[in-house]
Amino acid sequence: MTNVPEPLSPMAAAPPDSPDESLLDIRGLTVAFPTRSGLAVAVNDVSLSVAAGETKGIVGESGSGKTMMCRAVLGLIPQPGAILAGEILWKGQDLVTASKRDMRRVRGSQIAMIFQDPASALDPVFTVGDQIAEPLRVHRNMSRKSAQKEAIDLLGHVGIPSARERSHSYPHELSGGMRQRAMIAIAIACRPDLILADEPTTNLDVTIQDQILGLLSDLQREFGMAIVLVSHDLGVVAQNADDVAVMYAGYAVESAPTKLLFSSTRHPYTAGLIKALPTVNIDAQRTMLSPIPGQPPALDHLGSGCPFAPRCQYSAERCLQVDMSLVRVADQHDTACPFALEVMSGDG
Amino acid sequence: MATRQELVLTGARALRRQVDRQRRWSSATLWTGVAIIGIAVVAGVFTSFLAPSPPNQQNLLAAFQAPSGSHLFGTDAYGRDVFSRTLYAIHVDLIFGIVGTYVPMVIGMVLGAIAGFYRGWRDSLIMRLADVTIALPFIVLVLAIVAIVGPGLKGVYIGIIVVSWALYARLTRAEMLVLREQQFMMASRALGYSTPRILFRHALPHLIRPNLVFSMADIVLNILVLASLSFLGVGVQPPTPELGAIVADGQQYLLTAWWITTLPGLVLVFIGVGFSLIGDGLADRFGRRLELPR
Repeated sequence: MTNVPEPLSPMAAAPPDSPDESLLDIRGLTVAFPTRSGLAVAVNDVSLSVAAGETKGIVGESGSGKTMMCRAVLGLIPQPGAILAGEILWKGQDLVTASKRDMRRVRGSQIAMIFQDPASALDPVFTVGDQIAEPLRVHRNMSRKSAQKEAIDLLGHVGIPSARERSHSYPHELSGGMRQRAMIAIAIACRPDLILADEPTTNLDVTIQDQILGLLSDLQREFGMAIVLVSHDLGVVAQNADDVAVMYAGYAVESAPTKLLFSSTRHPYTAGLIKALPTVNIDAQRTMLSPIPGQPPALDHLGSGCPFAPRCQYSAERCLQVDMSLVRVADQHDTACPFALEVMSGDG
Repeated sequence: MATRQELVLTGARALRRQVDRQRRWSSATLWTGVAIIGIAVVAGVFTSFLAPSPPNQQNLLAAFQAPSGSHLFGTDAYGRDVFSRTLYAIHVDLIFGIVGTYVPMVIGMVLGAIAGFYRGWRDSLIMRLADVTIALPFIVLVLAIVAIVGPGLKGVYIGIIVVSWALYARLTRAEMLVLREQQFMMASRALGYSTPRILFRHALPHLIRPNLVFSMADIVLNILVLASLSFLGVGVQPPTPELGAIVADGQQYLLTAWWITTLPGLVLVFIGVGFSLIGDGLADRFGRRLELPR
């Protein structure tokens, strides 16, 4: 048990900009899994708020805790794992302590989730039409007929041609892009206020990826939904999100409006991610990518201090004392690296 | 001169024929089984129209008559028409086979699904109970229960339901353990569906296929259990016609009047083969081999 989460102060992070306008307000969320070698803290004291209608990007490598954070919002942490601390305020109601019944009312109708792999997230034994109609029947008490009609409308809405015929298709009869469209149709069926999009385009071709992201932002504009866009691809997030939170080893290491994050990066990890982005440049014949050296740490063996220190070019003795709480460096711009201003002043 | 297009078309046609052949073979298995069971079901349902005489009508003057135009399967020691008795027996056996299979199947599926879905104490309780049931030899356990309830069809029904749910529970639980890790199961929770809805509406369609395939083998097994118990004298009581009982009655005359045992026995074999063929055909169609849970 090397890694017991530090004592939590709910307001360790910068206070939410204005609490009344945020739809979802995660405060000091800590999610952990017991493992043979100790407690793996998948999400460590993360605070995050999403305002109505905005797109929040969450970026991080695999295992950085971004997926677990989304699941925590819906109360879907897989079995031995648990939320150890923190609040998830949804329109003022704490979802961590909410009853199963209240939780069911939120799931699917107010907060919907889009999964990474539509091939496995769609039920293979039901037609897509049935699967879109089902949340409407459950949450909106619609009759079978009107739910089916609405399902066909929704299919058309997400850009599936000849929606009526397609609504009788089974998931395996659709292409990957079509499946993800169907998945989106299911998610928006009940007009949720928030969509958690967990790597929605990771398994798709780049061209399809753009279409799906475009579709999401069209729907967002139309229905005024907020979107939490989770991705390991900084490029995807940069194009689509208003604000970005960067996660590393369960911590939120930097959080800023997208422009600010790129123009004045304030965490060495974010800087590393940006440098590792491939660029298409015909003139420069071969630009080498500069990857971040090393591997992310094992979550059950986190030492004290900054978990990124072993891979950080600026790392020093003092990094072992860093407590990973976010420090405000500019308006709406927080970083977990207290030395960022000092060591990274030349960057950006 | 074959053009490129013609070559492609010929290839496509050959491919198509091959696929069709495979499909036809698995269909042939299935439909042969369906035809045999169809005949048995017709015989079982319209027994009273088809049977030339009542099953228990004795005619001691006409005892031990060999099969002929008036007695298709001959007559037995009491001069009863074996063909009529066989038809009535099919009625009894089919109903037993179906009820004795599908009632335990439903019980086993529900319990197995609950065990696999919730895990924890429910799983331990249900599966240990199933283990105990499966640990004892099937027919011995049924025999013991029949001995408690008293001989007769009712006892066998109770015995078979008490015992054979366990295999379905095991089969279903194993499927459920795989199923619950599937992403669409989490997706259905993320959509705010209630647990009963997820269990019965979303999980069940995935669980029913292997159970259905297994049930075809089980029907045969259960009919044979009834026949065996009747043969042993604790199943269907005389003079009620039942295939096993008829076979048992005739065996002492096997050398002199072979038809009393052989012909109803063959009918039993045909019914067994029919269900097995349906089971195989379904397994092919579902793309999965029949695996017995042990």
